[in-house]
Amino acid sequence: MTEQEFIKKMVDIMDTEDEITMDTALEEIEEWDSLSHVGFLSLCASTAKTKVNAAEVRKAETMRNLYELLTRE
Amino acid sequence: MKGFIENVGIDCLTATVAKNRISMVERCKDSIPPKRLARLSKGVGISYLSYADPKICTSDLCVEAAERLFSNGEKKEEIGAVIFITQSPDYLVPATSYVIQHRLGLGTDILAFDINLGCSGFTYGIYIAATLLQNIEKKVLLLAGDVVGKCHPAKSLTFLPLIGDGGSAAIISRRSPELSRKIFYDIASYGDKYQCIIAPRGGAREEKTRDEHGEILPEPENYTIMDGMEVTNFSEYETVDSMRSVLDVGGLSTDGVEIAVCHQANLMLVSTLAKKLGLPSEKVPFASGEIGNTDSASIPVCISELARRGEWKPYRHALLCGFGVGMSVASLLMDMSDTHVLPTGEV
Repeated sequence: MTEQEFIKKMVDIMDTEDEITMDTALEEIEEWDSLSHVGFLSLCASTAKTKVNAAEVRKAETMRNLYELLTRE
Repeated sequence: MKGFIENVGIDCLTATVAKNRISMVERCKDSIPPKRLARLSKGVGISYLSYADPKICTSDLCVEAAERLFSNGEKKEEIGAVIFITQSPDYLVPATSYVIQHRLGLGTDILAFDINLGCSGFTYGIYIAATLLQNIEKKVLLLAGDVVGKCHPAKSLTFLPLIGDGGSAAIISRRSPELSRKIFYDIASYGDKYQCIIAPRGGAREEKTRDEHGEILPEPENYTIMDGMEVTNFSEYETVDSMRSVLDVGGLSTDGVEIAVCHQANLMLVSTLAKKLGLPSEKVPFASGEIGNTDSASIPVCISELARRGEWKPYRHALLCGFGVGMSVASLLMDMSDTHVLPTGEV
């Protein structure tokens, strides 16, 4: 998944109207809430090569951190 | 643990929910902002929730379901065991299975007990019924469900948008060895995750906190709390491992699965399970959009809803998977081609 595709997916999951880039801090996105956390975990479960844990998602600070979790080998 | 149990099958099953349904949006409108509520509704795929009258207990829904099975030709004198699986018993003491035995007018030559389980309860119960049948010549009446809609505080966002009230009844019995019927099972328990879904207070370990009038305080720990992310994580990995494992034990490829009835947690989760298993969504139904997640009744509710819509077929390769509180997961692969399914009833 490219960075662009990832951002599009995340905007869908969060249903946010904010301008999102790879460097956006998650705490600045109002819609990065428990519902989005679960949505992101489901995205990982169906597309990531490795298991992404809840604790790892909680630790993520930026969109890039999430992308790294999703795409790690 | 995994393996198979021979010469056992489900004769019939059905589920009963509340006639009263409330709109999920209506129920949550005071506690969730409209935009978030719209996202939530889309994600969970639930628009209405079965919401029982405050006087109705889980046992009432299960008894109604069981009575319909008996009206449909099953005989009470053939029942040799009654198992009631719930987290919402009528009383703390005695076990509700005895109350149900009495209400249904079952004989005294019978084994009765309760099991404290939630979303994995139905598949767990089928396994236990099947093991009992190695020793009991009569049939096993398995009742499972929860009425918990009224047990959560008004602002509990974890469960309110999801949880519906439901009860189920199934009768399990021996099959002739010539049919060479096998129920394949894979069951796993994860006690290290016991805090993922927990009602911390109200048991012997810790009392509920109350105000000076004796009213229970609206603190989360006085009710069931859930770590949504951990539970999602668990459901998307351990659950899939268990289903793959039971297919392996049964020697069936994913393509051979005719239907996979998973615990109806919510639409997003059931869709993810379908994707991970590599099954088309038609084979992994979510049929609880107008009822909600009914805990241990949710697999029978899904099946009886499919029957109500005329969509249930006599499946020879049915995969059933319950998962949740404990944490626990129980997957079964079984022939349901001779299981008579009655459409969902209402109380």
